[in-house]
Amino acid sequence: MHDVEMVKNWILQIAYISILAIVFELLIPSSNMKKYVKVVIGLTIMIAIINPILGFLRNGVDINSTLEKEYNYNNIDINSMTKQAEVERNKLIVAEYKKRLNEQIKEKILDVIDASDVEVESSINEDLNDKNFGVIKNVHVVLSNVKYKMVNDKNDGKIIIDTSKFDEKEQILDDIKNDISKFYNVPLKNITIEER
Amino acid sequence: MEIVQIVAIGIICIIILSILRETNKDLAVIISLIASILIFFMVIPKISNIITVLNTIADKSGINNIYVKTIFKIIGIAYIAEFGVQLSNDANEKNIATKIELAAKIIIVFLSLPIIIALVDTIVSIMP
Repeated sequence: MHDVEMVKNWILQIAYISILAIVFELLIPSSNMKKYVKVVIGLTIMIAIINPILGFLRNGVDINSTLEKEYNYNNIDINSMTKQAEVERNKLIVAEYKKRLNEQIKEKILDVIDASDVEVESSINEDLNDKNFGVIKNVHVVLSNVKYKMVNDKNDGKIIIDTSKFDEKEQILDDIKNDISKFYNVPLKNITIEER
Repeated sequence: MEIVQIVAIGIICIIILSILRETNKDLAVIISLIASILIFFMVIPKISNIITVLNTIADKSGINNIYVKTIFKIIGIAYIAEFGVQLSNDANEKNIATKIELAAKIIIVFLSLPIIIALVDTIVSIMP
């Protein structure tokens, strides 16, 4: 019998026996006989309570089998759990890498131009086992409310360019593209800059 | 209401007995016996119900049926002995009453012997 089930049954038995004992005591006539009958009832109850303990003492409790039945240790596939955890961890690593990369590109762009917001989306090789992991496939930059400025090499300051001059604007965007392309080793055609 | 009938029988018996005790003591004892038996038979159907329910609980409690039967026997013996003792006392036969009581005690101990032996065996078997 299942050990836990056995203990449960035993407790139930004790409850039933208690009820029985009370009813038996009620049935005893109130006379000199009362104490004799009480003794016999008491002995019977003792036997009923002790008997299950005897079973435990004789057979012993097989803790291992109980644990296996209760917690299904064998059914838990630790290997698959580990693999799943590894996949989750890799996802987190890739996500963090992409986030930092995007922030770095954003900072690079903000060094050159003055924009209220820069959104960078990059796609990279996400396979951690691949030796080319982290290689950037393409970069998409969205600039909003841009005020152009250029680094002046001589004074090490920034100059605001007249945005109406289309050629200069294109020039600056091309510079940014080249910069990113060189720094991250991304083909130029895979870098797109969108302006809003 | 059976209790009303039982009490009514009791009161009638008391009235009859109080008159008869003065004139005819032998008849008084017989009437007392008849009244007791009458009352006892009135409650017998109820006792059988109680015993059925107790047997069911005993089955669930895992107590060996032999022990439960013994307890019922002992309770019955106690009742019957009590009945005899009271009757003997009524008839002013204290000697007989004591003997009945003694017999009942001996029978109760005799019936409880298997239970005592079983308990001793159990305790001994627990010892390593």
